[in-house]
Amino acid sequence: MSVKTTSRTKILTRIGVLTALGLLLRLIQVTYPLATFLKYDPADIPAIVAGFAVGPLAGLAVELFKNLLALGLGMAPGGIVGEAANLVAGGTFILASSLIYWRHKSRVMAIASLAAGTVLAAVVMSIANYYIFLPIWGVPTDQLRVTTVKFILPFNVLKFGLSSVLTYFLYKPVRHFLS
Amino acid sequence: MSRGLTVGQYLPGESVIHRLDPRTKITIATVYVLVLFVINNPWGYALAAVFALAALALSGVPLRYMVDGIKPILILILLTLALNVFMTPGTPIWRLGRLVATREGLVTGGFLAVRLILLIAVTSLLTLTTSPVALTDGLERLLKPFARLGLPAHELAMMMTIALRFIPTLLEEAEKIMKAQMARGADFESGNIVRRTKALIPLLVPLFISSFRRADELAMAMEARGYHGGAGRTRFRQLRVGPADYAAAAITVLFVGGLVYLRVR
Repeated sequence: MSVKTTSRTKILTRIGVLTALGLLLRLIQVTYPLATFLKYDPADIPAIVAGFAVGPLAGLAVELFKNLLALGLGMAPGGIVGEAANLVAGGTFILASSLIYWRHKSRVMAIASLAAGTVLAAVVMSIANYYIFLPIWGVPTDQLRVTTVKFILPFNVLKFGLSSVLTYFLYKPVRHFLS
Repeated sequence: MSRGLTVGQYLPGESVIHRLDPRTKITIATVYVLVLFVINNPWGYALAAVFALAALALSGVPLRYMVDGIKPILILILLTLALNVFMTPGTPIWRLGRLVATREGLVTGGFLAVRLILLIAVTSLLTLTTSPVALTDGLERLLKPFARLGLPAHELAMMMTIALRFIPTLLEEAEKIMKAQMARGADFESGNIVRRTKALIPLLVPLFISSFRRADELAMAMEARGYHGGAGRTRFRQLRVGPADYAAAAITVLFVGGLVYLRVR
């Protein structure tokens, strides 16, 4: 490992390139079998890698830019509402995980932080969907609870759980190339 | 993987809408999306629809593009419409077995559907008539006043521009890596969800390493050419606000005024 001199420009370019990678990974999309409007894609992984490797704010930046550019590039089927939901979900996951990981960087902490991020993101998304996103999509009040418990909660646990597992196996080999 | 991917949906053109300053277009689209949530009566929705249709007509973008943009969420819209029609209590207008459609449900569901369609139509009109680079440029200038509060406006735009620049490069890289791993016997296309996810690792690891390498090389190249952040930078492309921008702003103010009038009337 060389001396740690991550310049300001390097931080900018890393966030930029990882955002591009995030947008690219959006193309690998798997529809959640229980509800067609929920889709899994590994696009949060570059953001969490940025969160671990560069810093929590960098991770959040990758997530935010990914959502803004998806809108700008017409890659957002759910429009501005879908991107906002995606940002709240991914942002919570990334911020929570990387803040915990940066307190003490180790293998155990990586697992613990990813698990904590997954749980927190699923909880936050259930609340946000119940009060904000599902009403915007027009789901009637008496259907909110069922939709949240049956679709939103399990989907988010699966989504971030899958991304966490991928990140865990990926981050170790990639880390050695970061100096 | 790259099949069917067009990076960006920008349709070059010479219409009034195309030639508006990106700052004007971003601001108007944002205002439009926000005021959509203020509307509470049919006349308001009609006015908003007229505004969107007029912008579409002026832009010369074929209606087909707009319809394509709405298609992916059409199922969702129909689903919520149906949920509302059958689940809202009120005056029954039609029966289907045990399901009762109500007038109140039809009205609520219809308004929600119109709002969603308008929301998506206007944001996609913005991106159809404005190139991604113009969008990030416009965003940088719009955020500039916040730079004094510590918001790194220049850096934000720079990072998004870098991202746009690298999407095609990384796409090519991803295809190369996929072919290389397939030549070594990797299988990306069969098995259950766990197997498929596992199969992604040999693709993602080299892709991430190559991304970091490219980012670090770019940083070195930029610094070697004297890049030192936003202060004192001059621009090759200058943004100019013209008469059309003032006209568009005036029309938008009238539009918002009209909506507010219709709501408080």
